[in-house]
Amino acid sequence: MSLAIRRVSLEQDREEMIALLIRNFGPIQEERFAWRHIENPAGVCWSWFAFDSNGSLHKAPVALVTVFPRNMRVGRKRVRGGQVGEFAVDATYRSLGPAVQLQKITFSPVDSGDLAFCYDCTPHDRGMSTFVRLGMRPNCRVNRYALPLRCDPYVARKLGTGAWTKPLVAAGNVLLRARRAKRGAAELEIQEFQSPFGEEFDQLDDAVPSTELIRASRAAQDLNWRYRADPMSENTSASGASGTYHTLVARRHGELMAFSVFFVQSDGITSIVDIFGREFSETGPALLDGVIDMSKKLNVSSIYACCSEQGELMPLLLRAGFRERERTARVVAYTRKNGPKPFDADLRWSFTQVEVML
Amino acid sequence: MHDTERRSQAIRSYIVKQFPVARKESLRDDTQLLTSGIVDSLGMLDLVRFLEESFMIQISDEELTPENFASIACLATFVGQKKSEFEVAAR
Repeated sequence: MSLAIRRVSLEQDREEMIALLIRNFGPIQEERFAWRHIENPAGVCWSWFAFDSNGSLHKAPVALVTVFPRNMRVGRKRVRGGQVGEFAVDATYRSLGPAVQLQKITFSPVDSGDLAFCYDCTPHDRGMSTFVRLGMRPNCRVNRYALPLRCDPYVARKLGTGAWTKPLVAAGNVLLRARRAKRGAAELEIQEFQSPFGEEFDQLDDAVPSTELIRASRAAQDLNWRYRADPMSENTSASGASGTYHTLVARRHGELMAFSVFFVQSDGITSIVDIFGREFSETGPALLDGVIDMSKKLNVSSIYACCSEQGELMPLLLRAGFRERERTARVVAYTRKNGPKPFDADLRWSFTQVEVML
Repeated sequence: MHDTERRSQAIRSYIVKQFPVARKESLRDDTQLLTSGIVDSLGMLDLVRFLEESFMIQISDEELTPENFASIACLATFVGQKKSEFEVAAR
C-alpha cells in the first residue's frame, strides 16, 4: 500500500472533505467550512486528499491535511505563514509512512514561496514522530496554565456531592477567593468590548514592539474574522465547546492599550484565547484581573491559559496565581531549505492559544 | 535455520526488549504490532533504526506502511525483500 496525494478543490470536493472532517473531528464542520477554509483574511487554505494508490483516485480519500494561511509578525515584519491542521488519517492507514508523506506535502506552499514558513502544533509526543523522521525539532513548546476559582467540581470528582462535603467546599472556596490581591494599574480602565474590531486595533498591532518575537497578527481584519465572523462564535468555541466569547479592553485616557479575548464554557471553564498589548507588564496583569473578576461573576470554576515557554505572558500568569499544567503543543516550523530564512534563531516564539487553535 | 526464521527471531528479541507492552502479550509472528498498540509511531522510528542497522538496509518513507510493519512475519518478509533488492543492485 502506498498513498497518492492530490490537492483538494474546495468547491468540487467540499462534501467529501466535510464527510472526512466529521468522521475524524466530530460535528460542526459544515457550518464553519467557508469561514475557516475560504474567508480567512490571510487567504484560502491548501488542502490535500490522500488515496490508497492501489485503488483509483476517484475512490474515497483515506486521509486529509490542510495548511491554513496565517498573518504573522516576525520581528516587526508582517509575513504570511501557515498553520498545519486537519491532519486526519483513516484508522487502517495510520502509520508513520502515510503520516510522513502527508507532512511533507504541507511544506509545498513554503517551497513554492506562497508562505514564508509553516508550523504545526502537535499536541503529544507521538505527533512528533513524523518530524523526528524528517530530522526536525520543536521551535517552541506551549504549556497550559490553570487558576482554580472554586473547588466544588474538584471535591465532587474526588469525594462526591454528599451533604458532608458542603463545609469543605465552602471553606475551600473562601480560601481560593481570598488568596490573591488585585494589582491595580495606574489610570487603566478595563471595559467589556462587543463591537467589531476597528482601526485602533491595527494601531495597537503596529505599536507593540515585537522586534524579537514571532507571533500572530492582531490586525483588526484578523480579529474580526476570528471572533466576529465565525458563524458559530455566539455559542461555540473553535474547538467545539459550547459557551460564549468575551472581549475586555484596557484603555488609558481612552486610548487602547491592550485587550484579551476569552471563552467562558458552559461547563464553568474560562479559556483565555488571546491577551495582547503594549506596556504588557502593566496592562497584562490588569487584564488578567479583569478576566478573573468576570469569571467569578459568571460562577466559573477554573481559568485556563496557554503560552509558550519563551512567551512574555508566562511570568504574568505565574504572578497571578496560575499553575503550570500539561504541555499542549510542540510547535515545529518549516522554512525553505534554500533562500533567505524568514526568521533566525534569536527570535522568541510568543505563542498563546490564538496561535495554536485552528 | 532459514534466513526468514533468523530474521523473525532477531526482530522478536528486539521488540520484546524494547516495547514493554510486547512483554505482557504472548508475541506470535502474526501478532498485530500497530493495531494492538505494541508499537506506536515513535516506536516505529526505533524499529526502523534497528532494522536499518541490523540488516544493513535503507527504508524509505514510502515503505513505512502498515503492510510492511503489521507483524513480525511482515517485517521479516519486508527485510528479506530489501536484502534481495540490495543484492541484485550490488551484483
